[in-house]
Amino acid sequence: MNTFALEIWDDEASKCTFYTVRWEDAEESETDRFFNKYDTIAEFKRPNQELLSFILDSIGEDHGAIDALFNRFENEVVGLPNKGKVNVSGVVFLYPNFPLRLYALRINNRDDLVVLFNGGVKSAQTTQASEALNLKWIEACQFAKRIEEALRDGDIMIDEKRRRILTYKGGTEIYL
Amino acid sequence: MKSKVAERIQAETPEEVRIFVRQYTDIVLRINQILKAKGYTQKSLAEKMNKRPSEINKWLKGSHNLTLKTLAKLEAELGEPIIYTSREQLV
Repeated sequence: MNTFALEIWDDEASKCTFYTVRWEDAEESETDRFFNKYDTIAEFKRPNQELLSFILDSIGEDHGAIDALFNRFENEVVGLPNKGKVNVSGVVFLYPNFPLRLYALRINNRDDLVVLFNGGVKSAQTTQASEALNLKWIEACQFAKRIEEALRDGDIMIDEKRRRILTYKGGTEIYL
Repeated sequence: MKSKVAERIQAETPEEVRIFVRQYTDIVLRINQILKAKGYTQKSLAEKMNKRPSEINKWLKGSHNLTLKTLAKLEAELGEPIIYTSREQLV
């Protein structure tokens, strides 16, 4: 897996700071790629706006990243190249047949610090069956695994007061 | 700071979409909160309401639209208000 940056996506919401990941050689973060992509597809423009509002308004401003707003997919970790438990969940607006899935990691299960990854369209009954989505799921698990390892090894740490992730030296530029 | 992409899409999002998302989320969370506080499981609520557990699951997990009729049934069964409407007189 190549190097990626862990950087702030939105730190203006009152209850939660959102981070994202960006491949070192990429200009756009994975979360921006997701929102940009579905913003240009007519069929998904509105769900895309709903998902963004769900993240920034419902999670960010109203409730924080509480358990009830995240779908867990532990059972679907089959196929993940690197073994081990990961805590990736899906940000899903709880509306009937909502088509978009965006993967996320709640840092240390906190409700005020979330890393958003990429996602896709849930076109089949299970994530496994949605091939493109499954690739994003596996990728999200790999990002999450490396972030959790870096936290465990002390390469990065959490500034609880400021809702920030910092390098072990206290810096804000994080490459993993 | 906020992602420029998020900023742009949020600015283009109609206000009604944001109101809908916030209210729908609030309602689903409120129902779950009442169920938890009163010790209901989806199964026990289904039995009380003469519904299949799968139907209750659909309401609470977002694969079935919550209509005002459904909300009224839930409110009657749970005995707690789910949504409030302002009765403030507008001058």
